[in-house]
Amino acid sequence: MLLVKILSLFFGVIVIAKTMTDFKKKEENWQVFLFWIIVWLGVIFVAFNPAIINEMVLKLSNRSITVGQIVGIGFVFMLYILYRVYVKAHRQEKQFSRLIRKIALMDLKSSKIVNKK
Amino acid sequence: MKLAILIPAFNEEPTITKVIKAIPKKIVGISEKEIFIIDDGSEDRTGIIARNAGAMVLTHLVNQGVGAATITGLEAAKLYDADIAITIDADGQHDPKEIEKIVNLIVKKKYDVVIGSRLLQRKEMPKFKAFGNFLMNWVTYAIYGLWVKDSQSGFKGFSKKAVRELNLTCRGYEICSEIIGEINRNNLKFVEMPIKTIYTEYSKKRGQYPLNAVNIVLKLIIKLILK
Repeated sequence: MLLVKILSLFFGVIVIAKTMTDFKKKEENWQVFLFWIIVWLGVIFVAFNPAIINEMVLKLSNRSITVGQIVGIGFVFMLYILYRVYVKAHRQEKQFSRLIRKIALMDLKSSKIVNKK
Repeated sequence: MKLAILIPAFNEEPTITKVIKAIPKKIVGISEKEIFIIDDGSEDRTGIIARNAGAMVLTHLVNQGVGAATITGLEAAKLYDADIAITIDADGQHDPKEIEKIVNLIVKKKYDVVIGSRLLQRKEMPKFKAFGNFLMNWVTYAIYGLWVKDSQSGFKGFSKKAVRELNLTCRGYEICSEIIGEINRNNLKFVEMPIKTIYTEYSKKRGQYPLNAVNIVLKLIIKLILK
């Protein structure tokens, strides 16, 4: 569990520092800044107090949950997020490429070499 | 017959003029030709130099990769209404005099695709590049089911039919394998033509790095999964 604590603290500090820098540079608005701060402070808090998840689940559903189940659910959730991010990035990349190509072919479309007839 | 010569170029200032000037002025069977340089977001003067050398320059505002540049070139060939499109590397590793042989195979032997194969000088090819090439041939075969001896060659010729039927999407070097897949999918008539390769210190440094093979394989697998 020590490794989980170290990793969450390490990545949490990196993300929070990056968010703060972006906010200071006005590259992010305060809502996004606040969202990431809360999410990552939450991640660090849960990493240091894992029992809290069990207590919450117990209160909500009268069932207990193991660490393995938490990791499993987290992993599936991460895979879903990864898939969504990949699909979105891929779509953006394709649209960007199409735009770049359209601009590159603009001169040709108006040039004599394709308008000879 | 109209010929479009497509040269994707990224930061090729030292060689671009030489490559353009080496393209034969007259090619048997060709009445009209145009050289298209696809300047793929170069940070040097590649585009300006190419224009001064007499080529039509199509500029990618941002670097997109050799695959994206090739697709732009093929789109230009369609707009130009070319009967034949030939792709050739900008680093000077191919001999433009061999364009005539490719044209000949497409016009007289009715091939849809001609792949310039660097097998003649396999011994001269740097060992790490030869290994990467060998690996990519097998990966291409495993994914697309068509065996070619030099799947990663940038010297290729396409008939009008092939230009129309190829459905290419890859942006990077993986386009070489994708082309092989498209030849197979569209049942295009193809041949591998042995070509001479000019290995200079410059051309040896350019092109794909062997480690890039891992990257290409990953991209091809993702493409296959998402298909």
